[in-house]
Amino acid sequence: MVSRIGARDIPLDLSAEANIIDFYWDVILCMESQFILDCNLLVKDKDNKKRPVAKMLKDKLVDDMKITLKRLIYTENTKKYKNYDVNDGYDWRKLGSQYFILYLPLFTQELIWSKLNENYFHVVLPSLLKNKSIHDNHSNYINKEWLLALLELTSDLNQNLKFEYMKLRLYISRDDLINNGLGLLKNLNWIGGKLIKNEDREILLYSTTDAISYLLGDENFVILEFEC
Amino acid sequence: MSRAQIGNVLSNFATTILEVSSPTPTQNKQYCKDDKALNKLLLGLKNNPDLDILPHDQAHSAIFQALRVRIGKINNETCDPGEENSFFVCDLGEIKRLYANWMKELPRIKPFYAVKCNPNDKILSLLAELGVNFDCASKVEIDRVLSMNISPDRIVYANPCKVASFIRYAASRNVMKSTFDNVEELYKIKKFHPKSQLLLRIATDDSTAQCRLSTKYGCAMDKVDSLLKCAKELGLNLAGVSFHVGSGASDFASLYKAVRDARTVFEKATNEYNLPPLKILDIGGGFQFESFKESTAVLRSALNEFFPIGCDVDIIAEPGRYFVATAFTLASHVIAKRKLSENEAMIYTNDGVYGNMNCILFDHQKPHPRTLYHGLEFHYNDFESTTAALDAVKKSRAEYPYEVSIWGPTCDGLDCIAKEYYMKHDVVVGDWFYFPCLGAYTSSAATQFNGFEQTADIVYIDSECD
Repeated sequence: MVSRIGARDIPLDLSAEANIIDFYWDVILCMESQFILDCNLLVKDKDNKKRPVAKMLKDKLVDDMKITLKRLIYTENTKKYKNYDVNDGYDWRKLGSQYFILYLPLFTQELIWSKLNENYFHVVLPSLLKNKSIHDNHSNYINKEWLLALLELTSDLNQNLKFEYMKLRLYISRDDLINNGLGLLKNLNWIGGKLIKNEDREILLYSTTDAISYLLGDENFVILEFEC
Repeated sequence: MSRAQIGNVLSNFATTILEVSSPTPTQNKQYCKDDKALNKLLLGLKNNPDLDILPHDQAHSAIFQALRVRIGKINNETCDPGEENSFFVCDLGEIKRLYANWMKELPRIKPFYAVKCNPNDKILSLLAELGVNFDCASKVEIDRVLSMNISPDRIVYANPCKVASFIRYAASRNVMKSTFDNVEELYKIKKFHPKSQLLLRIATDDSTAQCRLSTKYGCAMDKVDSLLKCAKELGLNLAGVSFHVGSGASDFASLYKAVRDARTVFEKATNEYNLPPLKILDIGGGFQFESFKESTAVLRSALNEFFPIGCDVDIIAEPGRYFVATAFTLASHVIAKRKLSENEAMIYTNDGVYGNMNCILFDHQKPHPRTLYHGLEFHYNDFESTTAALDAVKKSRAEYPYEVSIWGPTCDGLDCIAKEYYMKHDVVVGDWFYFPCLGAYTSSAATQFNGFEQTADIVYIDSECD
């Protein structure tokens, strides 16, 4: 995936400052590209050239980062973020203040991309059922350890950042859930999961003008939210 | 057959001696029914027609009246946005009757209502007044109950997936009773809430339950020793045992076996680990109105055998849907119709899985739509206005000529209320459906959107007072 969306796929010496900044951008790019509705748009063409969408996405991220950094100015006196809005963080379209690569090998061999938006920790679960790995199958979903690990991580983030509350938003492949039974949802109910409505694309049409925003969406996921 | 006669039937089954593996000689024998006797008991209950009779009927005339008044006020031509929204009728009198029925069937068992099932303030307040306690699964639920001036003594924190922050929070609010099922949880509790009264949650056979919990939650009996040992080493306050047989179970043998297993853990804790005698048995939830008589008959039999009166053990339960499912009726408005053929159509209503019918995804419920208003007439009392399957009710297609699928208002493929239903009426836009018995896991799980909690519109009635 990293190479498909135009990020480098060669080992980096992360001790060099320039390299680590590039690495951070790659992580941001990987997380945000999870919301590209058709990931084929990111795959290089037959001449091994990058598609324009990858470039458009990168440019958008750079622009959005400027806004995000302003939002994240922390005022030591008030112990608050200067431009902080309590409702800002729920939206996956907003860039995160922190990005994470999670690895839960007993759950899946795939990397799990995630980001923190103020009070919300957004975690995109890889599609387990498309995977051939022996570790990745439906029974892994019906297992609380991975979820508890994510809930603990979310809770720990709040310990460090001291928000009033912290919520975990899980983005689960819609195909995984619908094509293989909805048992996961029935079990999550017992531990307080809430189903979150997908974005209203009609509203988006009236509020956005840039093309790349239309190519991004959350329709490939069923979104669940947990209090932490 | 009267209740007394049922009691006699239960006590007439001979108890036999069954070896229970245990390393301690004093615990070699437990008096309990073997599988044959247990099966006989269950078969006796299944064949007992008295158990098929529901404890009471819903107050249909009062519910119908409330629906009719509300819909009658809506003028389709001039109404404001929101007036046609779906709404519930909640009969508080039904909850009172259900509580009375609980006390009649299970007088020894203190119910701790599962708040997650329906955290409506009026319901919580009424249940608190009646003397029901509360099972909370999150910080929000604990706060909600405590804000009603209810003592933390009346709360059990029974989330089977507890994050450290939740445990800290329970400690800060003096919520003492809590369940656990693994060693890691014990270490967290030792660190953040060492004085907590702990209930060891054991796994049960939930293979016949519609919502199976124990495959995910609960400690297998062969792992109990490690938990007892750890609790002892950490000096924690082990207060009892809990289990949950899953919701919607059809075979209540699991209840009997779970009580028996709980007794084994009680004995083991005292005799093998020198822990103080356990004081609490939490029999969990999963009770349903329709099968309440049968499940409680099995339960009474098991409790009389393993935890008889005078055994000095407090018995508690975590019922949720039993107390609220039948108290709520949902009405929703037909907002669109797409004809597929002369007698086939897709019907869209203004409520769905992202609203008050969340239970379709999160629970094992299948809401039953019935025609409420069609052709300028109310049809509430026609309880057979629709059917999910023609064969099941031995009705012909001629009686139910219209085949429909029913969808919520979003464009999401998940938002399907019923894939295939047969109707007497050719419903059109502007008609109303009603969905009976929809009080559990519905509005409580409704979507939070744009930071605002979605609240259901509820018309309250009290059929015990009105």
